[in-house]
Amino acid sequence: MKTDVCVIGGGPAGLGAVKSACENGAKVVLLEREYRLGGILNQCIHNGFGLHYFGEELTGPEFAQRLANDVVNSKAKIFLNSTVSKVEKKADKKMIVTAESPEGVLQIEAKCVVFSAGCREKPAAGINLCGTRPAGIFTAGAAQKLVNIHGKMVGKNIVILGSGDVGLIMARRLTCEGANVIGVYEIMPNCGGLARNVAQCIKDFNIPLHLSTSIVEVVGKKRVEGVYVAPVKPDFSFDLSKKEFIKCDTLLLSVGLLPETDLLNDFNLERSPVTNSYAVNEYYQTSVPEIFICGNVMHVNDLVDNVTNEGIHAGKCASQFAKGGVPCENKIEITHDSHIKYTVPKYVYRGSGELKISFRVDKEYRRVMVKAKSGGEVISQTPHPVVRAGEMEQIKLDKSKIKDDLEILLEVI
Amino acid sequence: MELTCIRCPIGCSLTVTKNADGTVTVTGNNCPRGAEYGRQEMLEPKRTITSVKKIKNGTISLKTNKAVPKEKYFDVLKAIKNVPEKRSYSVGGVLIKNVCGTNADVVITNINIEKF
Ligand SMILES: Cc1cc2nc3c(=O)[nH]c(=O)nc-3n(C[C@H](O)[C@H](O)[C@H](O)COP(=O)(O)OP(=O)(O)OC[C@H]3O[C@@H](n4cnc5c(N)ncnc54)[C@H](O)[C@@H]3O)c2cc1C
Ligand code: SF4
Repeated sequence: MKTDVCVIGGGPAGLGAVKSACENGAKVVLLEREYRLGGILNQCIHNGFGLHYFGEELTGPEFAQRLANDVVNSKAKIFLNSTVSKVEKKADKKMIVTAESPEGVLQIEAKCVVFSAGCREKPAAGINLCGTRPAGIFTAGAAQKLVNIHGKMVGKNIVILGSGDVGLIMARRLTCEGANVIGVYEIMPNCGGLARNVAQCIKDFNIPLHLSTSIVEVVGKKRVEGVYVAPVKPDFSFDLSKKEFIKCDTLLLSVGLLPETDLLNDFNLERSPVTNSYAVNEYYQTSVPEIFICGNVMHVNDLVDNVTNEGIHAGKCASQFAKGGVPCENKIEITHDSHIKYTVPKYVYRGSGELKISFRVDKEYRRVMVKAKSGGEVISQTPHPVVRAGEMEQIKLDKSKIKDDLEILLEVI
Repeated sequence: MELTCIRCPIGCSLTVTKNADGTVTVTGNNCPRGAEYGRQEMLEPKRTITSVKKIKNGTISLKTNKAVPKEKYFDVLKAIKNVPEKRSYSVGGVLIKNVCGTNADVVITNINIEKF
């Protein structure tokens, strides 16, 4: 089958991409491995989604359905239960996407692909967790799927390692299902999740949150019997003299997400070490021009509203690419100071119009000015009352003011 | 009272005080929704409750269509567990009307039945 744009993954990023690529006149094929659209949102049954994008507060599934409705009613060809197993580029620059589907092997020939396969959770091995590997260790998202989609409980006395949003949300969810959540343990001195989730998931239910504390050993043969926790010193070594045993039957890990980039490994795309994904330009295009990426596979987002907007942008640019190309003269690399960990995009082209730059900072700063400098001049200043490591920030620029360089700086005021 | 506003992901730190005349003053909010939240939280804290119920062949996801008083949290969850199975479910449909006398309805947000 031939198409202009092939979108891989039907979560909010992919749905945004399909919608905008269709609206911009491209022929679109969407491949999704699950039996329905919506991605991770289907298991995020809590509310708090969509305030920015839809202007009202929705639950995850409701947000997903609204996006999916637009796509189902568009001209895009949608394949469900279809897992992409290979992405290749032919000598004539055509992209060939292979997927396993109930109808057999699908081969899609596309002018470009939008890759929106989301992220996966770091497992126990990803953090060198010491001790045994009995039953009862789950990543927080796997537990979320079991409890919310399959209606199966994961345990009775539960310890959560890591204070990311998924962990905090699951602390509340499991408490509501009658479990005893003994505590959330976080290695860093600050909480990884949003302040609102600390308030409504942890404080509302009096769940203890232990900062600068981590698990040093898992104990148990068949099933988890407990964990040893210990304070973490400023140099990140454990203070084993204060080691303490916590009896529990279940351990949830909420220790970070990794972009699901494996399918693109063979392309040797330019990587972005901080995001664990690939460097992109302002069109969310990778170093292979036929490959666009967006959503959590580009960089792990905290808000689905931002994910959707990224998808919409990538879909629009991909359709423009398929129709003849995107302007790509006078490439400039965006540089930044050490307070900023990375920017998306990494590259821009001189021209006109609005440019949106997303970034993350290394720690919390109060009352800062985010400055963009080009040609020795400040071309934009955006005040932020507070910026936090756990939250993605954004600034908007007028591209016509960009000269031969672009630097993003954070100044405390 | 020091609070974190939960009405949007920014999570402003609010200071809420009850004045002698019974009115409530909120500072630290970035927008009017925060003032509303702070006042409500001082007078009668409310939450939107979401949950899941097992049905034949799968589950349904649920929410209260309004925030309900916080002290009714576990009563609402119990009412959801105890409500008998219906013959059919539809997204957007009401599972329980006026749950626990809160004036809020429990509404179906998703149906999880895998079809192959
Ligand atoms: C467990 C978990 C909980 C989260 N909770 C929240 C939350 O509460 N609030 C929030 O704002 N954000 C949350 N996030 C972040 C959330 O992932 C984003 O908000 C958003 O859902 C990401 O969208 P996405 O489209 O990039 O990825 P996803 O939603 O993950 O969608 C990716 C899609 O690609 C499909 N796919 C992957 N590989 C293939 C393949 N090879 N072939 C075909 N299809 C494929 C998947 O099946 C999936 O449908 C959570 C993330 C995780 C992992
Ligand atoms: S006060 Fe307004 S901006 Fe601040 S967290 Fe509440 S809703 Fe968001």
